[in-house]
Amino acid sequence: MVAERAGPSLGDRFALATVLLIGAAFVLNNLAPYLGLNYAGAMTMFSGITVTADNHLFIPKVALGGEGAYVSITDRKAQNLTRPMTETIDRLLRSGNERPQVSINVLRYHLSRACASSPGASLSLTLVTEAGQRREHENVCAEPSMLRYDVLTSRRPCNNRACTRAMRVLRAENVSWADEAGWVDEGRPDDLPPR
Amino acid sequence: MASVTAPALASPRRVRPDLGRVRRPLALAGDVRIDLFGALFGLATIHHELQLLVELQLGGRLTEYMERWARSVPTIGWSSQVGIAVHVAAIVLGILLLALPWRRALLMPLAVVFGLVNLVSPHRIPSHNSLMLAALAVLLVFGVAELIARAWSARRAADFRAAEPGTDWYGWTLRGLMLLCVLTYVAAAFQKLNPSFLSLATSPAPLFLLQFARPFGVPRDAALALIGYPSIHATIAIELVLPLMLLVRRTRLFGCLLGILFHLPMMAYGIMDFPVLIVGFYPLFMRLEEAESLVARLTSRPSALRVLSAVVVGMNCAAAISASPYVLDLWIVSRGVEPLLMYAHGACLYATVFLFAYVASTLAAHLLDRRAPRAAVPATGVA
Repeated sequence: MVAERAGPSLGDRFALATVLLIGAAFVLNNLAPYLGLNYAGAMTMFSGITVTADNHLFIPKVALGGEGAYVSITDRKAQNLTRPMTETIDRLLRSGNERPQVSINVLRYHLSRACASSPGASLSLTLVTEAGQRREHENVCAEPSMLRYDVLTSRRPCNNRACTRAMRVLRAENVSWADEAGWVDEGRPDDLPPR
Repeated sequence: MASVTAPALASPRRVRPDLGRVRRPLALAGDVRIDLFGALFGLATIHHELQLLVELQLGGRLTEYMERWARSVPTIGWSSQVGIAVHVAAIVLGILLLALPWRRALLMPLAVVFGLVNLVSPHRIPSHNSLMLAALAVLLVFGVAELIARAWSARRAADFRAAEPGTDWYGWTLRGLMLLCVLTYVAAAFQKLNPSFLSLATSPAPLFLLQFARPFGVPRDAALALIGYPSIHATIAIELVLPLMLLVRRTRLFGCLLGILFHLPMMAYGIMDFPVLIVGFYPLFMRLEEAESLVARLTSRPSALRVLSAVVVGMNCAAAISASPYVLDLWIVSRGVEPLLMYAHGACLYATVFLFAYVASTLAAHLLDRRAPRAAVPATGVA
């Protein structure tokens, strides 16, 4: 026979805290696109939300973090980079007649690889955000913040077709299959175009 | 803890009467509700994995997919062999969840494996991954807590199985999972409040219903004019109303039926993982008697009408799958086809859609049978 307790037990309090914590994390993950934070698996499938999450009727885009940015490289000067990494950066600089708009996280990933490709590597970049803001970096290899990236993210790597084509070329994939499969844009069916 | 689901949790620690015959590993409490959830979670995991692996084939062979994607996007740096091993482990656990009765125990290791799956899926993290991870976290934390509590009290009891865990960890598991289901629908509706979704020209909502008009030769524009805006607004309305219907006893079973019918179009498009996953949460809202009654109905010999309705709905969905641009591209455009994978993917698609068509027709019959006796009762206010 169990004696009556005056209130919730320690186990009940722990359980309630766990449920609330997991629930809060879930909610934060779904608000993260609008806060410029990284997120993974928010309920954005078939939602119509833009890649920059700036088209919600009620929630304005608040740039708490810089993770929602998409940038184009307009100029670069590389020193002591290996040839493959130089070609990678050049592929992100231009694809056809367009400049790829690539996620800042993906760009940082490639910059990290480029700067680690050989000792004394140096890379100066001029970036333009999708909002038209210009950013100049004298040497990204000397800026730790430009070399940190997230592995787990649901943010799309690209904001335009030029970037998508560039990514496929980097993966040595034949771009023609993507034209046949019209729904594919970096492997995400979540935002299918009407067909 | 009082809630509208209190009746549903009146006997949360009730175990199956055949506990003595069916060994429950780790002596975790459970009943048919968590069994149904676990089975559907396993099925959703299989679909998730098959869909992901088939998509990864689009750009080349699976045996080098991690190295290929590492050339374009950040990856964890593991080899493709490790990635494939993790995906296979998830599929194996999914199959075990379908086949074995020890579902709550099997969901615990899946929490670890599925966490790793996210690390070896460089091409995308689907929306439902957060729901799966959160649900598995609830199951893992409370499962471990229950085991520890039982072990602690078993020090005083002669038998581990007879030891009382104190806190109702199984009840908390149900509450946590129900909360995640509610949050999922609310979040999904919330994300759709934007001009792109609400506009007929750009909304993906009508797309899922247009596929059913195609076999009947209805012109696309005519069908779009008819169902366009209703499908857009109904999507948001259903996502907001469905959690409430599941929580309230009187509307629960109708909510289950509405939910299955709501998710069928997505299934018919060839996207199975999320619909199967979220429908798996529905039994958790039921009272134990409701769930047992429904299982009895599902496993009983169906009437001819029930079979016919299931076949008609299933055939319509199967026809839509076979014409789905998404599915056709996966099967035709892939550059690195693994035949076994394609066969498994196709078989699972068709089998699952017929399963859900059968469940929907059973639910409809169940609801109609429940209404029929009430219609004969005089209006005295007593059900």
